[in-house]
Amino acid sequence: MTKMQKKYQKGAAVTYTSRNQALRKLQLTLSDFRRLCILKGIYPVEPRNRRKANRGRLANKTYYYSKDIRFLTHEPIINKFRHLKVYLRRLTKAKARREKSKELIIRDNRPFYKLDHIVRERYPSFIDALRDLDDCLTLVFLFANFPLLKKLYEPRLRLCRRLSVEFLHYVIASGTLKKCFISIKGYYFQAEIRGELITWIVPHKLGHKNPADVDFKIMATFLEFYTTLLGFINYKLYTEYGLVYPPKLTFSATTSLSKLCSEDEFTDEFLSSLGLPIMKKPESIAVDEMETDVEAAELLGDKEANEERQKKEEETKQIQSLFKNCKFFISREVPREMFAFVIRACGGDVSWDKSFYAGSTYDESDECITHEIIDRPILTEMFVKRIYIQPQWIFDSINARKQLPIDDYLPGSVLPPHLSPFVDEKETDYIPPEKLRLLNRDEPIVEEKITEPLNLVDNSAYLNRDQKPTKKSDENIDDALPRGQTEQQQQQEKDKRLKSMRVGSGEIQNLNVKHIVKRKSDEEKRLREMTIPKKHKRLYDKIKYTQKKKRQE
Amino acid sequence: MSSTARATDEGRKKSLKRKKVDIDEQSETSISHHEREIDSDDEVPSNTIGSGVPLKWYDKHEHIGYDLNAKKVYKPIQSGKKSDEIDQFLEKMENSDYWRTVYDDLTGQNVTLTNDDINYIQRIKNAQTIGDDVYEPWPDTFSSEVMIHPILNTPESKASFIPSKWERLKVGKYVHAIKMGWVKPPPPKEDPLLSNTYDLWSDDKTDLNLPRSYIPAPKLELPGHRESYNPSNEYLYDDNELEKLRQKLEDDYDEDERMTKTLFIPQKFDCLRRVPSYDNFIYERFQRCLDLYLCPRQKRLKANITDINDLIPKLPKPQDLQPFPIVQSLIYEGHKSQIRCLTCHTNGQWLASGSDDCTVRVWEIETTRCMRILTFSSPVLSLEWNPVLSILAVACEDKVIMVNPKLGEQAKTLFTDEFLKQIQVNQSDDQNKDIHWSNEENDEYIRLEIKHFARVKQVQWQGRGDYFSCVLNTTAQQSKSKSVVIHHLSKCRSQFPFKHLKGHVQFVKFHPNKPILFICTQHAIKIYHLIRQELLKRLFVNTKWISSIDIHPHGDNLIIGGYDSRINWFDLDLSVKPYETYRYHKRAIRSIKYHQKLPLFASASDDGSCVISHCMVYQDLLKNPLIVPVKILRGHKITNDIGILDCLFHPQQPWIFTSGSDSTIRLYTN
Repeated sequence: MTKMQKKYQKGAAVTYTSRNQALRKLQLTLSDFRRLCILKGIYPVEPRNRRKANRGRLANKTYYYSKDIRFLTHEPIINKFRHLKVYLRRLTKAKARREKSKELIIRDNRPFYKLDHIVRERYPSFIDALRDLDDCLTLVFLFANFPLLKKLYEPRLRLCRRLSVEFLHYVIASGTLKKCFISIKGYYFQAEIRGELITWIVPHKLGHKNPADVDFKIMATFLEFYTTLLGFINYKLYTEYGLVYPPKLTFSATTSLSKLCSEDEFTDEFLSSLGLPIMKKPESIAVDEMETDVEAAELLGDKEANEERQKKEEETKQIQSLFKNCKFFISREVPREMFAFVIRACGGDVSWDKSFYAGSTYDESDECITHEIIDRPILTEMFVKRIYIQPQWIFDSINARKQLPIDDYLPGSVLPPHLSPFVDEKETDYIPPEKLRLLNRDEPIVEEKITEPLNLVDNSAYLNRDQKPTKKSDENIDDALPRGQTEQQQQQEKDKRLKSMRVGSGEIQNLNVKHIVKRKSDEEKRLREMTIPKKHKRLYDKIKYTQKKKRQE
Repeated sequence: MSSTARATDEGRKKSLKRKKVDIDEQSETSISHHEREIDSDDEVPSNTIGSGVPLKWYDKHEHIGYDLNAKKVYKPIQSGKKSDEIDQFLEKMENSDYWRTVYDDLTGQNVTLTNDDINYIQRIKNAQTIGDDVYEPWPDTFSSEVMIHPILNTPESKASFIPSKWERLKVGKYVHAIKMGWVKPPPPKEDPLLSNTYDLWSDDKTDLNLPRSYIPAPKLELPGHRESYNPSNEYLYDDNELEKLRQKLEDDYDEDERMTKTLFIPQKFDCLRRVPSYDNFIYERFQRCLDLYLCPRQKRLKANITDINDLIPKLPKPQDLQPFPIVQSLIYEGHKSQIRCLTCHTNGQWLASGSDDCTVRVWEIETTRCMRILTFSSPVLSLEWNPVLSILAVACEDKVIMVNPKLGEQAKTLFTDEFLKQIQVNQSDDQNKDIHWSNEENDEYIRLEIKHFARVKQVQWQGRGDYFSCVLNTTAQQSKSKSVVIHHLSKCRSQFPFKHLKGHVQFVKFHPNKPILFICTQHAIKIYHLIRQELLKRLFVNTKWISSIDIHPHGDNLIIGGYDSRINWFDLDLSVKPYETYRYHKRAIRSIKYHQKLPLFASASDDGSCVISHCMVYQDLLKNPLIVPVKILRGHKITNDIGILDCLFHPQQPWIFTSGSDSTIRLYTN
C-alpha cells in the first residue's frame, strides 16, 4: 500500500512562501529582509491560485518563491547584517557610558559588506547587467544631482557624481548616444551599448522640493547596489574600449585656480566639466565588435541582417560626426553639463565662460567658434561669423540625424515643438503635423506608380446600374456587357431609345480608378481577415479597435 | 578722572568679581564697605578697626575706631543717621538724592552713591559683568614669555627620571608576541565604496546556477510627445479635460493600495531656461524603487505583436486561385416572392427555381429567358432535377410532384414520358397507407404525384436517378422515424428505412458514389450505410442548428452551415469533429454548396453576401486541404431580414446562382 498523501505538502502550498514565513525562516527583521530583497533582487510573485498557495484561505498576503527564500538563507550578507546590529548596540552603549576611547575603537571596526558577488550573481553576463541599467543610471543621476548633505551619507553622493561622470565620459568617447529629449521631467538620453538600448533620465539641475512621503532609506539601499553595479560596468566598459580607468584627462589641468582647492579636486572638476577628452590606453586599440560581427555574418551569409547592420552603422557614424568641426560656445543661462555632453558625444567641441565652470577651452571672443547656444531673447554683443541658436536645435538635430536649418531656432524666435524621438508612430497612429513635415522633408514625395496590372473589374461596379462600365477598364467587362442586362433594364433602354432615337457622342464615364483600386484592396483585406483563426481573432479585433480609438483622438 | 581713580576702579571691579555671589545678598553693607575703601584712599582719617569687630562695642565711646596713626576717630556729630522719623521724613522730602543716600556704620556718615555705583549695583543684580570693557585683555599669569625666575621651584621627583618597569614588561610582551607572530598589524582599511577595480565578468561564465527563472521587471515607459517641455499645442489639456483626469485619478485610487500614479500635466515653455524643476521626480523614482521590490511579478503570456498583419495567416492570393465567380452578370427576374430553392440541369443549360409564390420557373441560363412557369397549390420548398431523366422533382405541401418540363433533347423528354407511363402504380401493393402514388395524365407537364402523410421539406435524388429521398416535417403526434422516406421511382415503392430516429431531421443527403445516407438533425449528423443497414459514424457538429450541408464530390469531405453563422469543415477520414470552423458571415447561413468539378465552395447567408472559397482537397492524405476565401459576392437586397436563401454552382462553369428573398436569381460569373 502506498503512503497516504497529505494535503499541502506538494504543489502551490509548498512552492510559495508568505512574507512572514520567510521572515521566520531567515530570522531577520522586516527592515533587514527588505534590504536583503532589494540587494539580492528577490521580488514577490503572484501565485496562480491564491487559495491554493495559502492552504485554502484567501488572505491578502505577499508571496515569495520558497526556492528564493531558501536561496537567501545561504547569503553571507545576512551574517553581516547581524554584525551590524551588534555593532550598533555596542556603539550606543559606549556612547551612553561616555567611553570615548572605546567608542572610537568600535567605530573603527565598523563591519561593512561588499556587494560584488551579488552583482555577479544577479547578472551572470555583462550583457545582462547592461540590460538592467536603466533604473540604475536614473537613480545614480538623481543622487548625483543632490547637494552634498550629511543626511544622505556624503561619500555615497560623491561616488554617484563620480560614476555618473565616468559613464557620460564613456558615452562621449564611444559615441554611442542615440537619442535625446528634453522633457519637463528632465533630460532623457538613450545610448546603444553592445546592442542594448539604455535609457536614462537626468533631472533638471535645479533645487528639488523635499518630498514628504519618500523613504530615503529604501532609495539608499537601492543606491548601494546600483553604485556597485555601475562601478563594475564602468570599469568593464572603459577597459574594453581601451580607456584608462579611472578616467584621466589627456593633459594635466593646472591653472591659477588650483590654488583654491587641492589638485585632486581640481582634476575632478575638470573631468566633470565633460568638455575635455579623456586618456586612452596607449597600447590598446579599441576592439570594434561590429567588424567581427560583420565577418561572422558574411560567413553565415545573412544578407538581410547584414544590410540592417550596415544601415545602423551608417546612422551611428552620422551621429558621431554630426557636429564635427563645429565649435560651440555655451552661454551661462544654458544647462552646461547636459549640452556639453550631447555636443561632445556628437563630435563637436565645446566651451563656456571661464568663470562659469572649470574646463573651458576657449573664450567667447574666439574667432573659430561656429555656434553659440543662447537662451536669451536679446543680445548686446554679437559676433558676425557665428550662428546663434537656441538650445533645442542641438537636441532636434541629433534626433533628426542631421543639422537642421536654423531659421526656426534663432534666439528670441518661437520654437517649433520639441517632439519625442522615442515615439515610433505606426501608420494608423496620430502623427503630429510637425513630425509629418520632418518626415516629408526627408523623403520627397514620389508619384504613386501603379506597377501591378490591375483587374479593374469590380463586382460593385455593376451594383448601381446607372454606372456603365467603360470599355477601357478591361476586356472582361466587354464579355459581361451583352449579358449584363436584365429584362427590365432592356425594357427601360428600349423605352429610352424610342423616346429619343439619336446617336449622341459617347460620354467618357468618370470611373474613379483609385477608388476602385482601394475598394479592391479593402475587399482583399477583409477576405484575409476572415481567415484569422479564432485564437488570434479577438486580439486582432482588439488591436484594430485601439488603433481606431487612437485615430479618433 | 585721574589715573589713580581708574586704578582703584579696576581694583574694585576685581574685588567685586570675586565677591559676586555674596554681594547679591548683602549688597548694601558691602557697598558701604567699598565706600569706606574709597574713602580710606581719599580721606584721612579712616577707620582701621576692620570688619571683624562689631560696631556696638563702640556704642558707649565717643570714638568709633582708630586711624592709621592709631589716633581715635571720633563719632561725627549729627551728620549721619537721623534717629528721628520726622527728621527722616523731612530729609526724604527735601533731599532729592535721598534714595541714593546710604548710612555708613564705620564712619557714621551718610554717603551719596554716584551714578556709576548705581550702575554697578544694577548690573550685579542682573548677574551681568561689571565694567564697560568686557573684552579687556586677560592678565596672563603663566604667560608664554620665558621669565627669569620659575613660578614654581619644586625639584622634579626621582621617579620621573627612571624608566617604568611595568611599561618595560608590557612592551616586552608585545615585542615577543609580534616576534612570534601572535599579534598582527591591522589590515589596511578598505574603502567599502570603492570596489570596482577589477573585471567582474572576466571569466565569461554565464551559467551560474540560479534557483529560478528570473522575471525581469518591465522597463520604464519611454516619454511621448506630451512630456516634452515644448509640446505641440494639441497635447495640452484645457481645464475641462484636466478636471476630468483629476477626477479619474481620484476614482481609480484604491485606498487599500499604494498610490503609485501621479498626474502628469503637459506644459509648454517657450524657452529652456523657463523650465522649472520637476517636483515629482524623486517621488516617481521612489515609486519605481518600490515597484521593483514590492510588486508581485507574474509571467504573462503576452503576444508580442509588432505588426498586426502577422496575425493574418499567410495564404495564397485570390488572383492565383482563379477561376471563381467574380462579377454579377445576369439577373433572373420574374418571381413574385422569395425563391427558396434552385436546381440546375446536368447539362448546364436550364435552371429551375421554386418560390413562395407557388410557382416553379425554368430558365434558360444563357439568356435569362423564363421557359416554363408551373403553378402549384402551395409554396415550393424544394426541387431537384433528376440527374439522368428529364424529370424535375418538386416538393410542394405534402406532395412530391414529378414534372417533365420538356426541355432539352427531344429524345430524352420522350423517353422520360414513356418511362413514367410504364411505371405501375400499385396502390394495393403499397404496404403503408402513409404514402400514395398517383399518375397524372391530363396535365401537360406533371406526370406523377406522391402524396405523403406530412409536409415534405426536401427531395433529393440519388446519383443514378432511380432513388430519391424525402424529408417529411412530422408533427408531434406522428412518429419521427417516418420523417425520412426513400422512394424507388422505377418500382413505385417507398420505404421508411429507419425504425427509430432521434431529433428533427433537417436534411438527408446521398453520398455521391456509395450507398451511404447522411442524415442531418438539428445538432448532429449521422451517416448510415444503406445496404449494410448500420450506422457508420456520428459527427459532432460545432453549430447550434444546422441549416445546410453539402458533400464534396469525392465524398471524403463535408461542409456544414449553421444558423449561428458557423461553417464546419469535416474530414471524414480524419475525425468525427470538425477539422476547421469558419465564421465568414455575420448572420445565419442559409445554404452551402460545393462545386461539382472545381475546388470551390460557396456559402450564402442572411447578411446578403455569398462567400466563395477555394478548397483544394489533395489526394495525398497527409496534406491538409487548402481553404482560402477568395470572393465576397453581394447584390441581393435584404428583405424581411433574409438575404440569400439558396445558392448553386453551375455544373460545369465556375459560375454561381444565388436566389434571394428579393425574388431574384443572380448569376455571378468569372
